[in-house]
Amino acid sequence: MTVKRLLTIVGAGPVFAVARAIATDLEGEKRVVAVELPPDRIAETDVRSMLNRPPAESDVFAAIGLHALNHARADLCAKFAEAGYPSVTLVHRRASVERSAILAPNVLVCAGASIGSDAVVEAGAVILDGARIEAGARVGAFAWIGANVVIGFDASVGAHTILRSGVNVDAGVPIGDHCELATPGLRQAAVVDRTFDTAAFEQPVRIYRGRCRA
Amino acid sequence: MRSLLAPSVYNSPEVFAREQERIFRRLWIFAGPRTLLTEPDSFITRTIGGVPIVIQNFAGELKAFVNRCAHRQSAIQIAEHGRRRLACPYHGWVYDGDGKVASIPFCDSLYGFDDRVRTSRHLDGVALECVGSMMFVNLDADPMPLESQFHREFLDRIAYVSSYFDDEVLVANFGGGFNWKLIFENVLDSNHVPFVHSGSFAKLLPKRRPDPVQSAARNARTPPDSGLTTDLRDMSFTAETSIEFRHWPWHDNVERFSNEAKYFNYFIYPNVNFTSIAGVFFPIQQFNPGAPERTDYSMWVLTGLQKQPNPATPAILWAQAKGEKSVIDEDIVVLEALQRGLGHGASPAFQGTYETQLRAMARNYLDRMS
Ligand code: FES
Ligand SMILES: [Fe+2]
Repeated sequence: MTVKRLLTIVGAGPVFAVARAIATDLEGEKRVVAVELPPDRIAETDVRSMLNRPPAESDVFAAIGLHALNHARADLCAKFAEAGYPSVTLVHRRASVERSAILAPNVLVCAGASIGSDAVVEAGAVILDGARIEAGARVGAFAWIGANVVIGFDASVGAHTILRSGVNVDAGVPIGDHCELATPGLRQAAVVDRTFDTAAFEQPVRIYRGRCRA
Repeated sequence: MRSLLAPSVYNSPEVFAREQERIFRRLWIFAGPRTLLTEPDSFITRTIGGVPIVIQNFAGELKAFVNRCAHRQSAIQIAEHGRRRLACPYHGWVYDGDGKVASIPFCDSLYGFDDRVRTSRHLDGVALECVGSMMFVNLDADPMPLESQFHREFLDRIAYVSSYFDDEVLVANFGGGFNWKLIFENVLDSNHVPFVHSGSFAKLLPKRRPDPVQSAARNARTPPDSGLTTDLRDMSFTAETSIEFRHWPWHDNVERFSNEAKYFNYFIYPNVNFTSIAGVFFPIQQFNPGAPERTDYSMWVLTGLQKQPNPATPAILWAQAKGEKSVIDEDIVVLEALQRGLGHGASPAFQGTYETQLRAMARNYLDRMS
């Protein structure tokens, strides 16, 4: 007889609570283990000893919020991968995902969210409640899509980018990686990598690179 | 003792115009970190003393010009940073590293210029000096030597410190509703920190912190104004304060000019507060006069040289910039209220011993303006 694998949810804060609830709903309480780990402890953590069981016995999910432009979640996912634990994708029962959409590991899709046909959601992205990823759109790895955000047909959002509630992306518009956009409104023009448009500064802040990176 | 500066010095349009001419178009003014201009054809644009400037990399050599086309005065580079040759977007005139017109589309057929006429047109050059990785420009037709504005040891120090600059640089621009001198005076005034920043920056400082700026003046009586330094070079100086500094693993990837848990200040007259947090971060603030009662801040945040590319650097810089800005916002609230009080009926500030550096600065400023 085969033992059913466990699913260990690791993280902290609201995302941890949501991921745990979705996992429990889908898998039943017996299968789900929750381990609390705040983002600033990830670097020093040895995941094997923290999980206390080998990769053969448990799947994992990194449930960390948008700390450090989502790099904390990426770091935890990297540790899981390195230690050989398979990451799952969590989709709320009341979310809708088209058959042809592709969801990578450690993606979280919350209640009421929808993922259109041929849309791609890359590893570790978080799609909050009611967000809509329209057909053909792409959400980059470890992006954060706020509640009720709409990513239009064929639009794209770069890796690690945060779109707060109230920001929508028009069809076909690319948003770069490592951005944080919080000023509400429909984005109709491309946004370059490393642009920060939030209430903290009156004009968008940019990060430039003097040397070209490969 | 009364401040040497009348309240009108902080809000008069005539004084403002004179400052632009006597200070910002005559002194060496910080223009930005050089590490932004590593690649050929990369450029930055700034406005200094009311003049638009472009600094551009020509095959490795940095040149500064007034960013105004010799044809119909269009800006030649429009973005604040980018990589494209020095070519005007309006009608396509292209400039070489000497600022001369290298080519004009349809030169014969449309303009009727021969080579002699074409090559006689050029951009206005601007003096540029790099001190380590800090770029300074001077708009004066006959710029003073850098050593007349800064002590040699000070130049050597900022050259050394800035040689650790990484090339990934956050740039932010924002405004404050007050005269630029108020914020430069404010950064020299360590006594505001426990009051204005009690919940933020002050928490990083040790409880009984040594006074970083006025330690020399602490035990002295207020010197008579005849004893104030009139040496322009004394207006720029270094200060250090111990801070609480938490170590993060990514710090090991950073080459640091210092491993001490210290907040380093390099005050660069007339308008830059160049700082370093334990050699890990370099926040740089510049206070540009936008109008008599408006300061246009420029802020750069970078880390020390990253040994290996760190993909999380944008997250690190953005978090640091937000932290810096929330502290600055505390200053802005106070300084905007101060500025409002400088209207009709205001009298000059009343200062004590610890404000000697401010008095020296005022003395120097008045010399410069007269
Ligand atoms: S204004 Fe520059 S080419 Fe005409
Ligand atoms: Fe302050």
